[in-house]
Amino acid sequence: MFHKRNRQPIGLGILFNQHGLGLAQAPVVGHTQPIHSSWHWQTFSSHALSACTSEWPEPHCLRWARQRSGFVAQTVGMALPQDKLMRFTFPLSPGMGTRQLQAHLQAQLVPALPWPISEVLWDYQLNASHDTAMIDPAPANRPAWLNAALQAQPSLQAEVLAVPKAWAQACEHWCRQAGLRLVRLEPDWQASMRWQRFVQNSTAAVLQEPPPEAAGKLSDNEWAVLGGLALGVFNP
Amino acid sequence: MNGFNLMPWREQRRQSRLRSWRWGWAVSFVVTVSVVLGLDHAWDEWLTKQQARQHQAEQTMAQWHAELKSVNLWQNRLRMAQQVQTDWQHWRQQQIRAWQCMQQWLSVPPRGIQIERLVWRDQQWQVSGWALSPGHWQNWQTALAVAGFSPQTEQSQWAEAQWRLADGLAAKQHLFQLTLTLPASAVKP
Repeated sequence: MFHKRNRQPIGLGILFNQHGLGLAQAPVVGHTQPIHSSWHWQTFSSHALSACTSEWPEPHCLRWARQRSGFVAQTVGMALPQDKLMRFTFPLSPGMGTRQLQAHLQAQLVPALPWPISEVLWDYQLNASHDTAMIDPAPANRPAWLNAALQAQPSLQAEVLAVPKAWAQACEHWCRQAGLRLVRLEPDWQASMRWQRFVQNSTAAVLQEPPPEAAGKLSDNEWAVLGGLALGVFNP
Repeated sequence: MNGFNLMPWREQRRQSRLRSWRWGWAVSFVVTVSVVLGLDHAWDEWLTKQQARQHQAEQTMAQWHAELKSVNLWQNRLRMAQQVQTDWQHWRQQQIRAWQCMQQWLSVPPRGIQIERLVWRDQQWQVSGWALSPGHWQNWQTALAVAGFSPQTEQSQWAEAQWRLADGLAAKQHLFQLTLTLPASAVKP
């Protein structure tokens, strides 16, 4: 008599270029239907292209594309353009707490960035690498076993990405104008890797194909990025 | 690993945790205040009941007192209790006087005298015992007179000597009875 309401959050990935706008909705896990992602491609009209003066398409194009696709997701993930993204790697000393780590990274970022730190959004990931170049060269009086132990010890590194805050705010504003909520901004390789992992673990995902009207508009990697963006909204 | 997210997700997570903490604090505050108020209310109720019970018990006791005052047995017991309270001081003085007399009696050494019985009755000492000889008996009476005792010679009895076994030794002794009085002025404070 009563149907259980599906409250599982669904994410929407958005990717656009000069030809049009691509949307991908994350698969609904646990649904009665087979697991699949939904794709939609909306080609920009000539009028929209002529009216577009900024780097962002008109918000009504996004709203219209979403209405035509029938997607219900309202939380959005988008990829960071390569030209806006700055990437750094900083060595870390072990034993730092979260606040201390963030303060250390911010202090490292200040001289490395071309903008003031207050106008930048940044995020980091910690990596443990076995890079021996980070270790001081072994002095002659140091025993061999100590050198071997120091080289075997993993060094901690922080990979930091930074993007201008103005661009992120413009992106969030663009989504809000279309009635969507931007929750994730990530580099395209991270979204692509997520999609690759999903395809490896899902039997139904390999059968998916982009819509035929989008053939040639997006590369295979861009489709993977789009799918990964949709997956990453609620499944990082 | 959450991966990179250039949206301020850390700040949002911090705000979310802060919001959760505030909610938790508010809930715990409300629960604590409710529990304290509930306990205070329960304590007040218990105290009120206890005071009412105590008041009722006091009323019952007063009623019983009023009823007992009209009963003869209660009146008799009350009179006896008052008499005991009144006589207590006199008994107490007599007890003190008897003790002082005993101290004074013990201060006289009974040489050649073996006392069997000593009774304090009606302000008099009634002594019975054995004496080795009339001389010992006279000396002892003289010592008692010096100590303030007054032998009542008309009430004293003296028997002839007879053999008896005293403390494992056979001796000839005289049985005697003597009544002594102690003037009140001779009692040492």
